[in-house]
Amino acid sequence: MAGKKSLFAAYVPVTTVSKREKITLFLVYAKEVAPDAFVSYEEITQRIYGGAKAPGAKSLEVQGVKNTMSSVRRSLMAEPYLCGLATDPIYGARATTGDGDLLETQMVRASRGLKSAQSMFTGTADLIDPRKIPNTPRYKELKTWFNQSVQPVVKAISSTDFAAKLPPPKRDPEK
Amino acid sequence: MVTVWVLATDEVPLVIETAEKELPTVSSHPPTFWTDIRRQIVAFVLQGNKNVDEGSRFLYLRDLDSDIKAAVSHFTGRMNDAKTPLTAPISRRKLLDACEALRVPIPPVGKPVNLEIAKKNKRHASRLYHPDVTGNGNETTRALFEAAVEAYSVLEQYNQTQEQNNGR
Repeated sequence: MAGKKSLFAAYVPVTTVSKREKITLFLVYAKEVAPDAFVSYEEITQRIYGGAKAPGAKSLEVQGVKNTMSSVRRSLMAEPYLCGLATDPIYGARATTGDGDLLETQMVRASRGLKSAQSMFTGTADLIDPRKIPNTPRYKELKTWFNQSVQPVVKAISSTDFAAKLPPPKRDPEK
Repeated sequence: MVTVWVLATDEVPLVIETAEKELPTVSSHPPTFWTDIRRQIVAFVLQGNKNVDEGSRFLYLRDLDSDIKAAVSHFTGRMNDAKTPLTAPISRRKLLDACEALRVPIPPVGKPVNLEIAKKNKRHASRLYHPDVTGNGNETTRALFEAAVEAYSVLEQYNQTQEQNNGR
């Protein structure tokens, strides 16, 4: 916060690593100092670069941090951190604190991503008529792949069982 | 009861006791209200000092006019100061902290905060940080939840103060 002293004011930025690693190190530190607390992208930017004041939300630095978050997620999931990344459209981002937290945040997000990818995959496959694929050397391998691999996969992921099991249970908004 | 001094030409001042509800309001007076009052005061002052030379009279009357203006301004100011504020004003620093806590756009000086966004973001914060969601043992999230609730009450109070100030 502007007036109150930030929880992360004591963080010493690491300057010799990439931006992705800077953000990862800071989020892991923030998880230890204030578990479950989201950190705004402005504050993340301020802490990783060691500025006296947080930059504006529309500044290039903050936008750069936001754009790096998907690779930060992969970095957090790898050794030695082995955790996930929880993001919030209003309050920022944080590293997950345990398996339950990981299930509640990143797993739910990943299942939504898989649902979206599934509909894109099956939708694209439905548009393709294998009989209309030209029998030229250019498409020969891809046509074989489509007939032998893609169509069985489409059949598997289009099943009602898959569609029923993939989405997470809906939460009661009152809870 | 309020004491009203009525000054008329060639008369000693009369003291009239009137009930407060009968006091005339300034808006009910004609536009020449102050001109008439000054003219009457000047006439009252001059009635016993007719032999004063023109130059001195001009200077004294100019001073008298500025004294009347100063006296009216002085008492109007005291009356304004005596008005009790209905709610305590919120400092700019406190407002900035509250806006930052709830991720609400900072309003320009003298303008109200967008309470709809504040309310939405407070509910969002409750979903993230409420002790029922995170567990009672988590002090960090409890503090963040309380900060969000407090920030919302600060913004509400700030908007109330702005409305009062604009209404005055």
